[in-house]
Amino acid sequence: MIDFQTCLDQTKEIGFINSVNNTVISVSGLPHAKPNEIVLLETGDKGYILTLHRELCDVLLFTTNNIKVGIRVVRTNEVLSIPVSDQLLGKTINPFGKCMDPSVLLSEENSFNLIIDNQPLGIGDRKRITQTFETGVAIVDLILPLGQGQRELIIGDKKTGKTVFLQQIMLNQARKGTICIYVAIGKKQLSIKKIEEFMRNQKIVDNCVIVASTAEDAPGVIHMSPYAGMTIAEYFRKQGKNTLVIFDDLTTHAKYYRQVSLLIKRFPGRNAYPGDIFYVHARLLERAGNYLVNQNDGKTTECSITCFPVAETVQGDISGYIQTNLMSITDGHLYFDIDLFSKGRRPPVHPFLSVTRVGKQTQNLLRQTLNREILSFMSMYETMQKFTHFGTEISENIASILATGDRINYFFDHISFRVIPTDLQIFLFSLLWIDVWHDKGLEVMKQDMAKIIDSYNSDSSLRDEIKAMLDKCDSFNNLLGEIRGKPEEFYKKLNLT
Amino acid sequence: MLNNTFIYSEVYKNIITSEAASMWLEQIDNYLDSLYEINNKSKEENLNLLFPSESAEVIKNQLKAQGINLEDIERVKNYLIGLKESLQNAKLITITLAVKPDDKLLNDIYTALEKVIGGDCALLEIKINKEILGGAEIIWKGQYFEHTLKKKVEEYFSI
Repeated sequence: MIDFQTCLDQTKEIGFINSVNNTVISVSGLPHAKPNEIVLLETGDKGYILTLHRELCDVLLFTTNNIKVGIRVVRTNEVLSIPVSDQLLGKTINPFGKCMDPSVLLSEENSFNLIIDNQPLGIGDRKRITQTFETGVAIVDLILPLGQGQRELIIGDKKTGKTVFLQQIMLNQARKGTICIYVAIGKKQLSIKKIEEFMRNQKIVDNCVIVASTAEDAPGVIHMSPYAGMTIAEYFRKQGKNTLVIFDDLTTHAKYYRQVSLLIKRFPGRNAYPGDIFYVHARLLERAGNYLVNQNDGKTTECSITCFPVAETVQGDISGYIQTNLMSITDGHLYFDIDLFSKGRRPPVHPFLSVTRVGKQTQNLLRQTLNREILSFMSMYETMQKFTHFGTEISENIASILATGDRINYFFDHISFRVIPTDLQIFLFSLLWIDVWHDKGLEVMKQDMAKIIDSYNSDSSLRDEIKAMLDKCDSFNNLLGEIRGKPEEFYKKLNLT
Repeated sequence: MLNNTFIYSEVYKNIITSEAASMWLEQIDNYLDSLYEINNKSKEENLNLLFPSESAEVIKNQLKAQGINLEDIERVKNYLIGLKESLQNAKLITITLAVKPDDKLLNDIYTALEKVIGGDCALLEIKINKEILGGAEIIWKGQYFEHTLKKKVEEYFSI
């Protein structure tokens, strides 16, 4: 624990607070102050140096306590770092590495400090993304595939199910052994508690870390929280573990950074955001990716940090400044449409306004053909739906297309509540496509799918049979042919109504 | 301590501490206010009234050295405003002592610090803190030097 007198004896430099402006202070003295250096106040509070002027430096405090002019300030000769170790798993911590629950103490044994604001690794350490990232949500896995190491923006209005969607992803990935890091940026304590409870109830807490900064924390603490989360992800990546990081949400992060920049009188740019707001997010998100990591035994493994930053929109406006910045930094976005949400679609991911730039290169031929088939059908379905608004008579063909489209939407809405592997998603979709539930109600389809999922989870022979079938086929049409050619016994095993 | 080309160098020799500088600033403000008053007194009489005699002599000599007539209000005003800004922007050497120093000690401290400070115009800010027991804490341009008796006692007798 560093204290004021020790730092004073070591650095032999002192500063005095000249002025206090909310959580930003200006300090005179400290002749050898460095940018991003941590400073310690006489009162025990900490801050870090934002800007250096000729005679003064601007310090962003990590406290909301009242600070008086004239208080002495000392340099610590350190930059902001976070203690990391495997102890962090299962804990909810603040951006300084301390547990939010004061009764839980993290021991310093086997932990070491990593600098929070790091440079991203260069191109030599990176590898092309080739592994699929399974979210467990059918509409994403089948239509908008993602890759391990991809950065996919989750964008949409408030209360459109973004956090629920992210919880499903964490559930699926944590069960596969991926380390999940959820960074709550300026959230309510109740929201953070709900995430904790979800992880505990689903028994995935041992593979998860929550880095939380609440709305009551100082802007300095909120500003550092995503960087702390990414640093923890880099620690686990160095150990050869795949990591998932979620930043919820970066639009709030941008607002707090704007507040701080205006307080230190930086020139406001568009929408009063500072000119470096793009850099603030870019240097964070560039640290995610697919990497080659040297292990202790000399081998090189491939491991990734997959990142899901969240951006909130207002009334569906995706042309906002921060939103477009994030869209250009990331490798695609999933757009949560408020209109689809109000129609009952869950998750309300708009397949045509969403983009994935990297995921398709991770797909095999079967999935690529399936993806093309679904997208072209959905496009046709959207067009056909417009004709029904006129109230004209529709032909049998169009009616059939509309019925199939409704079943597909129903499939995506109801399957998405359960986290299921992509192989099973493909199989279920193929059954739907060959009209197994033609002329049967949607409820029957839902019940049958639930039975198939339960059988898949409990019967390993069925699992193996489905996997073998998918591995054998190199196109969607081949798969459909295989399924149609299956004997009666196979369909009896599925226990269809 | 002071650059010889600095026009206020002679004045600064009479101002050592920040306390003295505050009094000078107040006296300068009062004199500046009186410059445009119409009364029966001359500018020199006003100067003698508003400044202590030593300070008034220093100002008169300096104005004479600069070729400024006391009756030339604008030039006197500019000179005094310059002096006032210089005093307000003067760097402070903060010295914390255990006992209040007398004038001789202040002069000795000032002379001793001349070599450290170089050509900058600086003033002593004296603080008293009995807890340090003796010696001094010096703060100059953000650098901190602790040479207190209390610290030495703690160092020698700590286990």
